[in-house]
Amino acid sequence: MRFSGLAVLVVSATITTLSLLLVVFAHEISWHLLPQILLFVVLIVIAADLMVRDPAGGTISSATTLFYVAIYVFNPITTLFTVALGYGIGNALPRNWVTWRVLFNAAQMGISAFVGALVYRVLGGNISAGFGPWILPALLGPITHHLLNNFFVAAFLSQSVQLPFFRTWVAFVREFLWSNLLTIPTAVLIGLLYVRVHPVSLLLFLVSLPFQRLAIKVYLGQRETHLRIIESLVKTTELGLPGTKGHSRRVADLSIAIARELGLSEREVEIIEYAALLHDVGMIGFDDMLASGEAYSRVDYVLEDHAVIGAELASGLPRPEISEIVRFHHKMASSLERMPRKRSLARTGCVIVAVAEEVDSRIFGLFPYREPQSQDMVLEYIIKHRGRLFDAAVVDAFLRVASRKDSLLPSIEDHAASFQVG
Amino acid sequence: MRRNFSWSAIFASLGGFLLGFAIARLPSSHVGWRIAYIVLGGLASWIVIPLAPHGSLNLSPMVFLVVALTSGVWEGVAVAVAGPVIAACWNALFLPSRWRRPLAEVLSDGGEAGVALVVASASVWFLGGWKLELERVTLLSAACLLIIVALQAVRISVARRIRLGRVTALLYRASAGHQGALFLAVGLAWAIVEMIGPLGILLTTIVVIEMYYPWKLLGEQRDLFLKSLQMISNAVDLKDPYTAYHSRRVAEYSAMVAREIGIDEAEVERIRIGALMHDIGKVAVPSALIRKPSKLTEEEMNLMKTHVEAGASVIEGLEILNRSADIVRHHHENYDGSGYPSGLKGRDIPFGARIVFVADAFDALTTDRPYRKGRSPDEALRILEANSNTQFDPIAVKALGSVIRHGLQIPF
Repeated sequence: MRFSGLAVLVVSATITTLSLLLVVFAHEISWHLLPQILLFVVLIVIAADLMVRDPAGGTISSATTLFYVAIYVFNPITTLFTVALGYGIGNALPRNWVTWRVLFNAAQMGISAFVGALVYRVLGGNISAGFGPWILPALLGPITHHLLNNFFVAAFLSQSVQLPFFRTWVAFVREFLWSNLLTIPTAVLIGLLYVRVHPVSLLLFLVSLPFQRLAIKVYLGQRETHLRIIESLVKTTELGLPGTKGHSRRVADLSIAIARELGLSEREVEIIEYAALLHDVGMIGFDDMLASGEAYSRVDYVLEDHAVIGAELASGLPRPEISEIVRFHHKMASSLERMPRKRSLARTGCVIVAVAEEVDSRIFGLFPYREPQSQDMVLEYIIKHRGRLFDAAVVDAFLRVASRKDSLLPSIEDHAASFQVG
Repeated sequence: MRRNFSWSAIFASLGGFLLGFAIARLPSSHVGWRIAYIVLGGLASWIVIPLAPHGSLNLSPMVFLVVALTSGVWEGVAVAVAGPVIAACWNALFLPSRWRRPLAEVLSDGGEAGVALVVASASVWFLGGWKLELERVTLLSAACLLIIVALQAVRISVARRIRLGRVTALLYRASAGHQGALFLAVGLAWAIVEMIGPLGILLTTIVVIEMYYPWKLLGEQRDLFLKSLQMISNAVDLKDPYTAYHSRRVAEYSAMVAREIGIDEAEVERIRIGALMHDIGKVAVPSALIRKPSKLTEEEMNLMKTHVEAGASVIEGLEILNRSADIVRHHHENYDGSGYPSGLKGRDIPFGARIVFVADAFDALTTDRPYRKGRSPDEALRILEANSNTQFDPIAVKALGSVIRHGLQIPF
C-alpha cells in the first residue's frame, strides 16, 4: 500500500512531536514513581493486546480506562511517557507489527493523553481532594483525550484512504463517545482507590476485564450468526419469487454503503441492514401474480400492498424503525415530510433503502421494471429526481459511493451482464 | 391474566406500604444522597438480564443492598421500591408503548424487591448475624438475592401454571452465575464505600452497569433474532391467507406440550425453533397450489410433499437452526409408518417431530378454512385422540389434552 505525501507528513509530524516533548521535558518525569509507572505499563500492554471489536463499531481496548487513570494520577509528561511506552509495546506484540504503525500509534496516544492530562491539571483537577470540584476536570481531561485521539486517526485515515477528514473525525468521535464516557466512572474509581488506598488497587482493573470481554465476544459472535441466518432465510424466501435472486442482499449492501457515507453510527447501520434485508418479505404471497405477469397490470396495488404486509409482519420486531422502513420504502422522499421526526432513523432508513431499491430494481430489471437498464440511465434518473422522489443528501451520498473506484455499481453491472447472458 | 394481575396488585400495594413506612422512619437529612441512590437504583434496574426460559434479573439489588448495608435497612427499602419506578419512567420516555411493561408489574417488581430485603434483614437479625460486619454483609446479600429469585419463581409458577419446583430449579440454574457476580459486586461495593465514602457506591454501580451492558445487548439480540425468525415464518404462512400466524401458534403449542411432558429446556427451545420453521419449505411450492381450496391431484400432492425435504435442507445449512432439521423433515410422519417422507414408525420418528405434528394438526383443526369453520379445542382434541396410535403419538396427544384441561390460552 502506498501512502500520499500528506499521510506520511501526519505520521512523521506526530512521531517528531512525541520525541520533542520527551526530550524537552525529560527532567519532569516522576522517576521516583517508577514502580507505579511500570505497573501501568504492564497493564496497558495486557489490555492493548486484548483488543475486541466494540458492539457500537470499531475496536475498543480496555487500555482506555488505564489512560484515564494515568491522566488522573500522573503529571502530564509522566502520563505521556507511560501511555506511549505501554501502548507502543502493546502494539508491537502481535507478530505482524509494522514499525511506523507502532510508533505512530504510541505517539498519537501519548500526545492525546498528554494534552488530556494538561487540561485536567490546568482546570484544577486533583482527585485526592474531597468530593466535588475535580468532577468537571475529571470529565474534560478524558474527553480531550478522546477528541484528540480520534483527530489523529481521522487525519491519517482521511489522507491514506481518501475519506473526507472532518466527517470521518465527527463520525469517529460520535462512534466511540458513549463507550469512552462510560469508561470515566471506572477510571475515577480506580484513580480514587489508587490515590487514597494503595497503588496496587490498579490491579482491580484486571477483575472486570475478562468478564466484560466474554460478554462482548459472545454478543458479537451471536449478532453475526443471527444476521447470517436471517440473510440465508431471506434468500430462501426469494427462491419462490421469479428473477429476484440476491436482490435483498444487494439492496442491503448498497444501503450500508450509503449509510456509512452519510456518517451514521454502526448501530444505525445495523438496523438499516436488517430493514433492507427484510424489505421485500411481504412480497412472498405475490409469487403467482409475478410469475403470471398479472402484477404488471396492477403495479400500484402490488407496490403498496407488499409494503403494508411487510410492515405488518415486521411490527413484532423489537426495533420499531425496521417496520417503518419496510412500510415506506417505496414512498417519495417529499411525501415523508410528515413522518414523526424529520431526522429520525426511521426516515433516514426509508430514504436510503428507497434509493438502493430503485437502483437495484432498475439495473436488474426487477418488478416493476421489465428490462435491465444501463448504469448511466439509472444514474441519470436518480439525479433527475433528486430532492423530490429521492432525498437530496442520500442521492449525493449515493453518487459519491457510485463514483468510487471500488464501488458496488460496476460489479452490479458486471453481474447484470452475466445475468443477461445466462 | 387475572392471576398475574392479582399478584402484581398484592406486591405493588406491599411495595407502597413499605415505601411509606420507610419514608416515615427516615430522617429528613441527606435528602440529596437519598435521591442520588434512588436514581442509581433506577438505572441499575433498567439493566435487565433475561433468563432462559423464564424470568429475568436486574441489577438493582446491587444498589439497594449496599445502601441497606451502609445506611440502614429502611434507606435500602426506599431505593428498592422506588428504583423500578424510575426505570419505568426512563423506558416511558424512550420506548414506544408496545414494549413498555404495564405499570402494575413495574410496581410489583419494586414491591418484591422491598419484601425480599425486609424478610432477609429480619431473618439475619433473627439469626443474630448483625454483630459481625462480614457476616452481616454476606448473609444479608445472599439471603436477599435468593429470596428475590424465589419470589419470582412463585410469580411465574402462578401466572403460567407450571409446577413451582420446576420453575424454581430452572430459575436458580439459569441465574446462578449472575447471582454469584451480583453477590461479589455487593461485597466489593461495600468494601469500596468503607474505603472512600458514599461516592464509592455511585462509581461501583456505574462500573458494574457498564460491565453488564453487553449482557443486556445479548438479550436484546436474541429477542431480535427469534422475532425475525417468526417474521419470516409468518411471511411464508401468508402464502395462504387462512394460515396467517400458523407457524407462530404451532411453535407456542409445541413448546407447551413439550414442557408438559417435562423435556428439558434446551430441547424445548430446539423443538420450538423446529415448529417455527416447519413450513419454511413451502416457499418452494407455488402459492396457487397452497391456496387451492379443492382436493389436490396426486401430482400436486407430491409437489406439496416436497416441502418437508426442501425445508429441512434449507435449515441444515444454517447454524443454530440446523439442530431442528430432523423436526422439519419428519413432521409429517404418521405414527403407524404411513407418513412421508421416510415412512418412519413409532419411536423411530424424532420426538420433537411427533410433537410438532400434533401441534400442527391441532392448529389446522381449530382455525377457519374456506370450506369449514374452526373447531373448538375440545372437539379438535377428540379428533386427535381418535387418530392417536395410527397418525399421532399418543404421548403427545395426551400431553396436549392436559394442556387444554389446564386452560389453554390460544395465542394471537
